[in-house]
This record gives sequence, C-alpha cells and structure tokens, in this order.
Amino acid sequence: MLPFIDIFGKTVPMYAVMAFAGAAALCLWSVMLAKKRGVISCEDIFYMLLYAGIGCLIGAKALYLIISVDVYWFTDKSFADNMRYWLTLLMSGGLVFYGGLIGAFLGALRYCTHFKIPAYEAIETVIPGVPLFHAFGRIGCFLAGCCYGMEYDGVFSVTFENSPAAPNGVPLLPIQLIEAFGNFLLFVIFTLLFLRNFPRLSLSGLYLCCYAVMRFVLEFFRGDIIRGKALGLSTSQWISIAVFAAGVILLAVGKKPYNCTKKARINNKNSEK
Amino acid sequence: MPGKNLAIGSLVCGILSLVLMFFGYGALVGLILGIVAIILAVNAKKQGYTEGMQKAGLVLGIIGTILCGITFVACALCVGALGAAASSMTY
Repeated sequence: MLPFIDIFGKTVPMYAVMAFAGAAALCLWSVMLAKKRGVISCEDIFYMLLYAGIGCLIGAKALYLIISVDVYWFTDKSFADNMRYWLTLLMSGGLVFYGGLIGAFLGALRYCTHFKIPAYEAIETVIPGVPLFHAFGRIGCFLAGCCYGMEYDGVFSVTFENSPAAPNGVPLLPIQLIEAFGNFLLFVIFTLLFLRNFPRLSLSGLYLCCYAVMRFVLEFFRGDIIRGKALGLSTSQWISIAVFAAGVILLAVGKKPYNCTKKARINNKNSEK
Repeated sequence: MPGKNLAIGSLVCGILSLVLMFFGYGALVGLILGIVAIILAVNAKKQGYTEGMQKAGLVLGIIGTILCGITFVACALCVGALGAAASSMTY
C-alpha cells in the first residue's frame, strides 16, 4: 500500500511512523486515565511508559533475533560471518509484538520497583491503551504489506502492488485490518471496564486472555508461513497458549483492582496536599 | 545539588543521540544514547532536580530515541524480503 514515505528527502518506513504514533496515543490515553482516577500521578505513568517503551523496543528486537535463529543461521558460514549478518538484521528491521509486550512489562516493572510505585495499579492504568497502540501497529503492517493474510479472492480482499514483504499481484485476506479492528474493540471494552471498574477483575489478566485467544484464531488465517511452525502450530500460537495461561493465573490470583471510588480519590487528593 | 550531574549527562546524551541520527549505522548508537538520556533525566527528576537542563535532556532523549528508532524499526515479516537477499549475500 504505502510502505515508505519521504520526509524532507529521507525515506521513512510507514510501519515505524505508525508504531510511534501508536506509542504517543498510548501515552496520552494512559495519562488521561491516570488523571481521571487520581491514584497514581500522571508524571509517574508517563515515566513508567518511557521505561516500558525502552523495554518494548529491546524485547521486540530480541525475540525477533531469537526466532530468526533457525531461519537465518547459516551452518555453512563461520560464527563471525553469521554475527555480521545478524548485525544487518538488527539494523534493517524486525520487531515481534509478543517480545515487545514482555519487554514493556519488564521495563514498567523495573520503573515501579526502582521508584517504589505500586506496580499493579500502574500497569492496570496502562492496559486499556495497549490495544490502541497495537491497532496502530497493525495498520502500519497493512501499509507495509507485512503480516499478510492467506490467499482469498472475495469481498474485501486486498491485492498489493509494490509491497516489499507481501506477494504482489495476489488477492489476500486483509488480516492486519481485521486484527486492528479487534484491537480497537478491545480498547473500547477495556476503557469502559476501567472507567466503570466493573466487573472487579484484573484488567491485565483479562487482556492477556482476550488477546491470546484472538491472536490464536487469527494465526490460522495468516499467509506468512516463514515464521516457522512446530506440531502444526505457529510460533505465535505457542506463545499465545503461554500468554493465555499467564492471563488465567493473573485472573485467579491477581489482586482485585484498588478501590477507585469517589471516597478513595478524595482521600488520595487530601494526602497529596 | 542532587541530580544535577545526572541532568548534565542526560543533556549531553540527548544532544549526541540527535547528532548521530545522521550517520547511518550511528543511529544504533544514537538510539542507545537516547535511551540513556531518558533514564538519566528520570533519575535526576526523582532526585529532586527539576531545572531546565533536566527537562531539555528528557525532551532531547525522547526525540533522539524516536528519530533514531524510526530508521531501524520494521515489522517481523519485512525480513522475508531480507531472507532472499541473505541467500545471495556474499561475505
């Protein structure tokens, strides 16, 4: 569709532009939610998100390099040659959402433990914005043509003309847009759940479960089989199973959301004064 | 004043990250320096230093990280095209 744009004579990948736009939207939304609840300061949420962003970048890249081992490790080349090629991979692209999610979680946790911020409450505040960020990323995927769907010649099928990643001239299922839509839906649902604080569940656990199920199903409709498979399931489906299990554990043992009633907010504001 | 040295370090790293953005593979170093600038600025703030230097370091760090990051962020499957290039790559 539109893999690159020219900004002041410099070619910029649209995927990256959308990813950073999504990150900005996530920051704004989380700060607004934090302000609305008034339990954790907006500044702490913003700084925590910066740490999470750093973790996300490192995690997404690290997982991408790890899963590239079996595909891009040349046994007929020396270790030094392989490492040199990996430096090219490191610089030239590749981010994996699940790696980013884990990295972001660790980054946020690092901030909270280092500066003694209640981690559970802080992460719960950020959770509604995460699907929004992801939706932006998926639209970026669509513009770049990567993460494409299976061959499909029906209503809403998409044919790429000049994509560096997708097979050009073949009608495909726009799976990126379907996932983006699903993420927008999750964003709306989780924002409503957050604002109404009902039902009293761990939002992070619920999000992990919902996203894992959605991703597991959508993976069957993906056409990019280069990412590798094991026992009939893709790498992301195996990770989805693990993420779902983590979500269930969080739902089962996670604390109930903190009391965000009007009385609690007033108490908090009084203690700040 | 506590945190002042951290703020100075943050400002320097922020400026360097912006400069390195224009030097090809230097963007990777710029990205790392941008991240360091953010961490130093946050730590300076937490130590109670909130002067302009800390804010400038934080802003430059964020801008440097975004601009350096944008040059090497792509999606996992864009690497499909790279795979073809790799098979014909000569070392």
